[in-house]
Amino acid sequence: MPVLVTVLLPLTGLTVVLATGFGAEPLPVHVVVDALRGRFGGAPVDTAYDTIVWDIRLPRTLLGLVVGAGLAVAGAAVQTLVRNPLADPYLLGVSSGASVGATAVITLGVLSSAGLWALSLGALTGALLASVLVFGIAMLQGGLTPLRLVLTGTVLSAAFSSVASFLVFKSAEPQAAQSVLFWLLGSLSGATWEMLWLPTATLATSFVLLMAASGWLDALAVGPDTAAALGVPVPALRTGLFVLTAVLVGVLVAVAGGIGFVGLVLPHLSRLLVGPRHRASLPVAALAGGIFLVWVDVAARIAVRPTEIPLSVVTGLIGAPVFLILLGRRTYRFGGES
Amino acid sequence: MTITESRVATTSVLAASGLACNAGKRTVLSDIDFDVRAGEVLGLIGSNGTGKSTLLRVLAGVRPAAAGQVLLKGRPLSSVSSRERARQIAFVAQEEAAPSDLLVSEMVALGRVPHARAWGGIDEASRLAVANALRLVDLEYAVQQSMDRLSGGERRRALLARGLAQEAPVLLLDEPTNHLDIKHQLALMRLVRRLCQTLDRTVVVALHDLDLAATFCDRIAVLHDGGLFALGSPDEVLTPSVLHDAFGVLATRVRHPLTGRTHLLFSHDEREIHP
Repeated sequence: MPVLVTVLLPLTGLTVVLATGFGAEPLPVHVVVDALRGRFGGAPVDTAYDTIVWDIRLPRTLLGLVVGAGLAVAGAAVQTLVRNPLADPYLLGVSSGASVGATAVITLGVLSSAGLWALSLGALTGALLASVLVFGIAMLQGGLTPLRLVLTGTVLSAAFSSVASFLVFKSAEPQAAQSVLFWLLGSLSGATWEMLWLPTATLATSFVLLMAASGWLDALAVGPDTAAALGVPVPALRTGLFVLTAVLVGVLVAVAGGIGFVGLVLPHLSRLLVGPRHRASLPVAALAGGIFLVWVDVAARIAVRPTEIPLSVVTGLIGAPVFLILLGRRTYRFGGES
Repeated sequence: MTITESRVATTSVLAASGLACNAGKRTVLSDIDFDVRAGEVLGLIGSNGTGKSTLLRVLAGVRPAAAGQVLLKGRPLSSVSSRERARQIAFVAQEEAAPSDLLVSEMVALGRVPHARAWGGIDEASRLAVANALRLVDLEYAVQQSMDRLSGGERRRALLARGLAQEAPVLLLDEPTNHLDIKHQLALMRLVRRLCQTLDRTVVVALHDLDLAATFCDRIAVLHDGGLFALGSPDEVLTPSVLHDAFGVLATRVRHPLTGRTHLLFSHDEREIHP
């Protein structure tokens, strides 16, 4: 177990407890701890506190943890797949596809029978359809090579964004533009316990698979010919990575919108800390991504009370300078000459 | 003039049978037939663009054959799983595109990928293979350095070490002496010979330096004009006539005054030799 993981694990627990205290009504740490204890066989606490901590805030904190970890892991996987340091989880058109689905739900009212789940369902459907399209076109044009994937993903992303913008533009609903914008920039405000299981299960499965293939991923990061010479079934691995990231990112976007920068910056940060081997860098990226997004969400909740800032606003403000600092480091050269 | 060996080697480790190779969509080599015998160093020579790297890639199973097949101990290579293939054949390409911030030890340890189980960490056998490979290429001092910090020659040796760590009986090397100073060129070729003699490896090595090829290879295959132009011992193949046809140069064979070995001297200009 790498040293960093043993540091980050307790830090994750601490983050959950501390972050759960923040909100419209700040709660002292001991209240949060008591409320959690009350749930696990300790002395019961005031129902009001129990409701705030257990029903409202904890799912949100945990969703932040899962989404942040998922985006960081997906970002690392996509960066390895396309061997490009500027790749992020949304490169493959998943998020803009999701935005078409979500926009269709918001502006056209499709899927309204699904009630509260309509937005997530619309986004997930859009995300998966978009991935199928990117996958199909890339395969037809010569396979899932990095160049093909980057070009196809970028071009189709632009097209999907146009469709989403068109839907907003022609909508009669004046609120639509703002709802869509808020969704696109990401939020954890809809978090419930029921919403947690799908992203958690998807993340857990993806993480286990990526860790099992970590040797192959290391070889692929060095180059496709090297990987093939080392016995890695390169086309199958690429297909697997594509499907895995598409499903993972699709689910994450469906529950939290298009949160930017986490999936771009955190993989770099973790490589910088523990080196480029996936076995070491994936767990660090996951934990750091989770911790990062939980605190981003805290900042988004308390910065301009009583309104909430979309998460991408905060991740962008923190992420941009961090990324510039990373790029400025000469010793770090993932995927290209500095 | 074409010299080909018809003797069917019973100890053939790797063989090309009616092999054709594409670079992109263009067929650069066709009708290639030869055996690589167990324990030999087979040199692959030819002028730029004759398809040495392409042939090695196809022999390594990294790229598919355009026609015909590669046989690994008599089995079609295409029917061997990629993992099993990588345990039998180690391929060290000429250049690796992306610089990498892996440590030297981590890069060499990638050679253990075909032996590793999912989830399995580095076991004792792997640790030993990595240390041994680093020792063979004389790079133990750089274990903890980043690949980026290495000189061109050290990089080449690290990549060779990765191939050695694979512990495959067949080693395919694409211009391994590139970027190496003369001392390390000779050391590397001596190592290649030693691998064959003492560790039972079989090596196919693409070389630009014909004199190195003459000195260290058991047999030499000359690629020219889209096919196998000549195959045989250095003495049979590295003749002024073959070299003139395949490379367009004028070669003279001379005897080394101290070692007695045959070496090659070259000239491009007819008038220099026959004034």
